[in-house]
Amino acid sequence: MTQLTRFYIYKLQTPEGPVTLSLTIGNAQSATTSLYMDGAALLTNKRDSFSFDIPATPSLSGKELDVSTTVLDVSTQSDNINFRIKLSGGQAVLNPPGDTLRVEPNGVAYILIKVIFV
Amino acid sequence: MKTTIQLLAGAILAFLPFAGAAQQLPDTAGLTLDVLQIPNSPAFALMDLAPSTIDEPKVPSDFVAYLRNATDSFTLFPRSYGLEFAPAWVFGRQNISFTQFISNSLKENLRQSLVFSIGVNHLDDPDLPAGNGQTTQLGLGLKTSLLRGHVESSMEDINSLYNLLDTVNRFFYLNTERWLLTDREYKMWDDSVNILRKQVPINIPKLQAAGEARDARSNLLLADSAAFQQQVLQHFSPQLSALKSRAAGLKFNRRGFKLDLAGGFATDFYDQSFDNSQVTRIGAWLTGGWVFDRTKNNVNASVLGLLRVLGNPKQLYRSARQDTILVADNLYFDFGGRVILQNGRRFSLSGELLGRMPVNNPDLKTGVRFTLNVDYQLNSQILLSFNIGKNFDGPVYKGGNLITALHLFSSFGKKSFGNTGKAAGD
Repeated sequence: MTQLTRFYIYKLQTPEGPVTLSLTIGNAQSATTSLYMDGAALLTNKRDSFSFDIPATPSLSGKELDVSTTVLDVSTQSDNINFRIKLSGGQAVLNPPGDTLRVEPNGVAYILIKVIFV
Repeated sequence: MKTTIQLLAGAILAFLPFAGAAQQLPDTAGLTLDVLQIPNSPAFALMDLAPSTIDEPKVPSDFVAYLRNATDSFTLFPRSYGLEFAPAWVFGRQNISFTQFISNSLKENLRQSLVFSIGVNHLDDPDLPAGNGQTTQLGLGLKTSLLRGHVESSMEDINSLYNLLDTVNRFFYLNTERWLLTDREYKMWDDSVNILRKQVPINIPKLQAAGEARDARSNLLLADSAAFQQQVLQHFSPQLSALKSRAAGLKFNRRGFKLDLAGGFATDFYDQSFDNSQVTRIGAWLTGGWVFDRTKNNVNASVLGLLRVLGNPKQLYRSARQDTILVADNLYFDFGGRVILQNGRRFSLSGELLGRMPVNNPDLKTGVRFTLNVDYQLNSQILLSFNIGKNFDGPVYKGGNLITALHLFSSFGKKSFGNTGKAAGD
């Protein structure tokens, strides 16, 4: 079992957004992701890689988005897990380098990313 | 064209001796070197080095090198080499998701199954028409799948696995944060973040610093896997064990209808000289067929067909009407079928029948080639292949039209994704 957390601040263009979140889980590994805004579920059981438009609200400023992802190693070739997040729609595109984690064969990795919008 | 081929050939011939060294690239730890399959790459097929012409479309390995030894009780150094690599897996594996991997859509099939292949073969037949008979053949080809079939595991199994994974993900979200908050330092930074993010205006540098400190603390705590294991994971071990065993049970062999498109060309370098070379074969072909689901006796069966257009520029051939040897640019249309029976992964028996129709030269006869192939995999990297049959009539390079050959193939490279799931705890 491997665990990892990441923290980012994302600058909005306007307090209400828009913001698009893109998550890439590579290496043909299976994953599910749930999104929580200030602890309330926004999206659950999203599989593998995806893009999601954060719903417009009166103000996203100061809110914290938790991106909770569990990846399962199903690859017959490698026990590596590639994980990358991208945020767009704000003042600039946030596209940090991806993370590569090694897990035991058929093991799981848990990744928790916290993003605060400002 | 000729200059380009010469430059390519120089680069490839220089690169081949380092094929083994290429395997020392990063991301190789823990790999199982179990990639062996009969080389059905276009480069080998165009040089008549593949033991069969019609091969089952297969999921590519990202990089494979082959050695082929076929003579003198295998005492000679191998005379034929081949390389295959799949760009999507070599350069873009971090972008291929599981959903895309198991998909059978045209876009994903083309992207993931595109394979470039290179083959080199050394001939030293004194009867060859040019120079002193020392000829090196170079083949370049590419292949991609239009249809890959479906993976062996059912969608029900895969959906069930995702549902369990979602349950585990929810557990982690609820319990990881709860566990982290039992740490005083983590809670202090978390409280700071929550105060700072709700202030107006937000002090971004302070928020950044507090958030990074909280993140550093959480990663430090989570790195102590023993504490996390004891205090959190043990309460969820049945679900984690179930997840692990289901992952191990997934099977990614592909069944059903498959269709491959391939093409390439082969060039002969007479006297092993770049200045004395000629493209001898250019071809494109479709290979398709049905790969049946595994039977109760663990026997796999495949029924395959092939359509191929093959050009032989400046080919020496025996004229059917004049009984003499002539030279012409000949174009052929090949068609045929193959039945393969495979017991487990070690032994396979197949029969192949191929017809050849000359397209542009009435001086050539229609020909038939048939072969019986028996392959036995000695271990994960060595395969013994015996072939017997009758070749097409016509080309004068052949010492006869009876095919009898015993080949030994060795290979090394990364394991294909197309094999069955690995066992838990391997």
